[in-house]
Amino acid sequence: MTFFNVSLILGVLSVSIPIALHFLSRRQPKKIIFPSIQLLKQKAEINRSRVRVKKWWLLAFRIAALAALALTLAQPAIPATLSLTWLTISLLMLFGFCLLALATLAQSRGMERSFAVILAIVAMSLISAASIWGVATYANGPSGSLNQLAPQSIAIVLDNGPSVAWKTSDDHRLERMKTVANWVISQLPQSSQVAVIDRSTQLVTFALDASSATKKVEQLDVIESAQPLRSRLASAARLLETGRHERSSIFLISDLTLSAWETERREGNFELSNEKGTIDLTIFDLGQFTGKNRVLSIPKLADATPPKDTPTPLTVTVQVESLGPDEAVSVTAELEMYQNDLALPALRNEQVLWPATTAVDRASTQLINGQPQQLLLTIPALPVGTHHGVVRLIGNDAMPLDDARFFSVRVLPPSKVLLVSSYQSEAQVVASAIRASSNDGATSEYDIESIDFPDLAVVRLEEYDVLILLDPPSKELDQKAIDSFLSQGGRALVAFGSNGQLGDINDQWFEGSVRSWRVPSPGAFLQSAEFQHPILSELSENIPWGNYRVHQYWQVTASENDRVLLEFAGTEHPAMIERQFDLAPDAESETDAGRLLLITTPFPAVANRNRPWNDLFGSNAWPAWLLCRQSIEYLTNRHGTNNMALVGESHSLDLNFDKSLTPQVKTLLFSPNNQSPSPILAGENNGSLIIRDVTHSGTYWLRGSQPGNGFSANLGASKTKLDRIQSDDLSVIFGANQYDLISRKEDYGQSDQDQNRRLRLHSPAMLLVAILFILEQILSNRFYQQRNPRSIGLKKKNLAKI
Amino acid sequence: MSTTLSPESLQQIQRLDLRARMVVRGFLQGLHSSPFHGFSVQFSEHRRYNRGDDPKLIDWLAYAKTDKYFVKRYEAETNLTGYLVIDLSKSMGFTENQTMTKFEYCTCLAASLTYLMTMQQDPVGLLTCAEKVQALLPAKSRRGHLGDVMAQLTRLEPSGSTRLPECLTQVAAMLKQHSLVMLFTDLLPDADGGGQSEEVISALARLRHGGHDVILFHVLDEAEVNFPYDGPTQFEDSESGQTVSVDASGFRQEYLDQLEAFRDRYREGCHQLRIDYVPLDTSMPFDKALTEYLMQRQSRF
Repeated sequence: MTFFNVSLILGVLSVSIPIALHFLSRRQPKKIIFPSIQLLKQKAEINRSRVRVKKWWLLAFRIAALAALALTLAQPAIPATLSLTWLTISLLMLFGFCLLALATLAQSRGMERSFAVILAIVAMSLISAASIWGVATYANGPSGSLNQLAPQSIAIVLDNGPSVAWKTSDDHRLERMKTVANWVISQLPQSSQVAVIDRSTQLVTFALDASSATKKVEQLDVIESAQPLRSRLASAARLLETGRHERSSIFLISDLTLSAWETERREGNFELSNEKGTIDLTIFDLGQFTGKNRVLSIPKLADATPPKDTPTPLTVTVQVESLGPDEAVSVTAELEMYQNDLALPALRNEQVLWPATTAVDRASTQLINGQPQQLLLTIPALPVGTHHGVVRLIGNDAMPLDDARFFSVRVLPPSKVLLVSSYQSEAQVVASAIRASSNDGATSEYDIESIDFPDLAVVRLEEYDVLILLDPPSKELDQKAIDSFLSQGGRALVAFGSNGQLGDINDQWFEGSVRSWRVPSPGAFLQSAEFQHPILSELSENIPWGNYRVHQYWQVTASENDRVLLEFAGTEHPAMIERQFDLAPDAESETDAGRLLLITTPFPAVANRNRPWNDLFGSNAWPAWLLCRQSIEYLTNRHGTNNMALVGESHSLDLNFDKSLTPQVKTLLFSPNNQSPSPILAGENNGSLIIRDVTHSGTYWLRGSQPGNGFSANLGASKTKLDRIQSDDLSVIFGANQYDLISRKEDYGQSDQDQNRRLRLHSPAMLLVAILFILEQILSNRFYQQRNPRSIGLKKKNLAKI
Repeated sequence: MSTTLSPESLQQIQRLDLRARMVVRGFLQGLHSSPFHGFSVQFSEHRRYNRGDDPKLIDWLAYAKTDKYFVKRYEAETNLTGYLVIDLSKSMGFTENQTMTKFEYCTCLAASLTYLMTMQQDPVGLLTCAEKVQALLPAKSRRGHLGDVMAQLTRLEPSGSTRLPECLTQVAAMLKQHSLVMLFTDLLPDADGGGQSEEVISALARLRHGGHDVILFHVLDEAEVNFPYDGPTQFEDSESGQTVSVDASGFRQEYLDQLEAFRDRYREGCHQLRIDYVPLDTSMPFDKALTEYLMQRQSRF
């Protein structure tokens, strides 16, 4: 048994009032001279004992009525599991009181005294036994079962992830979520504590009152970078620990999308409890999604760093997810480019003015449910600089978040590449691989100059962005000049081959032992050691390196600072190493540090040598070809992954300012959420800006550095997936019967879980109080006088007898 | 009739003789035609003179006609000699509503009966019962006797205890002539247990065996009949000072049952002895008592 208003139990102390009155303020009988006393004397003794018993009964009723009233006001509730026990105790108690009443009756009727005494003893035994049993049950019974009207500490957790942006004519998820949350707040008993917790990163606290909680609900918006539900629920549980009420509960409003619950399902059982005990969890399901949704994938640029004045193709995948009847849908995607305006974006009159967009291309297609199609759009020729654009689906649908995708391209001037090789054929292979473009007649990204090693000594390396050394002969290298070039921020790719001498290679390039390694037939092959590296991440994971054998290579030992990108399968012998040099003093950003790529086998090995070193550029040598391109793109910073980000992840943005002109620069970061821009001071120590959590999809502009600097952020495709989890999954997460899943407001508080857990005793207790008061009134005869003895009726009776 | 004969209205009249006259006049006026017309003092018959008869009673006209002595029979033989026997116990002085004690009620009633009987030329005597019987006035029918009775009744005061059975036995022994004994009492036993109903009925039987007609006016106070008390009450006996504490509210019914049983015992006893038992209380009008007397008078002749 548990009491709601425990303090009201103190009202039981009021039973001392009738007890005190009974013993202290007993009324003295009035004295009357009466001649017929002989008539009184005969039955006076019986009357006296009857009066005494009546007084005790009256006292008992008054005590019981006051105690019952106090207990009723305290609103008792018993666990349903113990209801049978309490019923038995009540019946025993009732039986005991009935026997006591019978004993009283027997005594007043003047029956055998021993009979009345035996009855009284049995009755008192029953009452005592029932009382002891009741106290023991109360002491040992479970606590915490309070009725629904008790004030409680409740956390309303709102799953306002991207899926609540769903909006059809009859299903506006966000508004429904707000309505339900406000309804729950309105249903709470007074003095309840409410915390409104959404999936943002805000600290969780209790609202001051219901109105502030309602206000917080009204301010609710869709959060694209939603925090995991598990962490928000854990925060809610921790917060409820500090609640001042015994009863804690969480009301979670969610549409049960797989994207929101996938992590929870994968991580398994999540026990919602804190130091106070178990927390009641109610999950309100916003229901199935009904309607059509067109999904646009994140744009795939053929080249994120195209050469200037060259149109760039862009592909997007579009598909329709019909959550209703199937039918073909016509979809049009439009490509818009932001105009690069030096003055925009800007904050005017507390409004952010964004650069205008210009539609540059458009493509249409017919879609059938679930069948994706690719659309090819073309970015027009652009001048050098960073450019941002957006691909939009024309028209509206239920889920707006996946109807627009953002991208950024960086148009760079041609990179100067010095290709040094003793073999003309190899130089040509590499040059053609680098220069190749899908767009005929396009301006090349690279300005390649090919020389032989003897000419290297007279070349000013500083004029080149990248130096490529193919099978350098050790003796002819001016190692000092190369080291200087690299330390100044130069980039180089060196592929060792037969021209290298063991000792020289060791001295010039590696610290550990170096030896020539000849692999028995059929030879070794390459395998990736770092899949996430920009060079390799663009390559497919299933590259058939096994078809391209390596028969001989230099076995080297990578130093601690080296990154091994490729190694020979089955060994730990590096095949491709990246070595990064310290940042040059005048470097603009971290990307300006000197970098060296070392390949331990000739690349390509197409020249006539005594022995074949490898078959990487054999027939159909597309992996090596791609590796070559990726390597040069990486070295020239044209790999282009720098300006596209995913919502919810961190992103690093180069500030790109000339440190020789100014030591630091004030910049403003404009986020697409229309809020005021954040000022950022870029200095020597922070050449790049790291945004820890990209919160919104759209274009982020950084004003103050180079014009148009910024990046595009897109919501991951999985975030807007509308597949839902099953109720079985909820049981896996929270445990069976540990939560209530409801989909209607009326079901709140009416669930089996609650019904099974507690039984309210308020009504029967009120009935008991009423009965006790009525009995007390009847016994005390305070208000209802017996018939007036002077009435005429009595006189008539007397006369009739005469 | 009831209005003028009610104890409350008579209480306003101080003089007992006036009260009695009011009662009787009101009573007779209410009767319209008296059924007792034949009780007047008239000649009824002649009988032969016997030795010892008073020579004053010889009808000389009859002697002149018949030359025999005849004696006229007069009303003296048709008259009813009545004795008022009044209980003087202290309990008779009890009144709850402070209007009229049982004793006052009895004296008023006795005075009315005296007045009525005097009007009928019936001789009336007055006896009181206390520790022993005290014969205050002999039975006479002369007109001045009424004043004597009234004077005596006015002087009486209830005090002390009464031994009613002994008194009644004495009365039975005292009265030579067959008389109508009108007993005014509350019949309450003594504190020491004397005067129980069996003893009183036994004494009444002795009186009855003496050839006397008895009317028992059992007068109780209104409060004694209705028991209008509530709550815890301590009752004190007016004669002995004994106290009894009871819860009056819960005890009322039992008391009334006791009282009814008490009255029933006397009613039954009197019925067997052919004694008229008249239960009265101080709230009842006097005509009832007078009616009882006249009924008795009629049954005798």
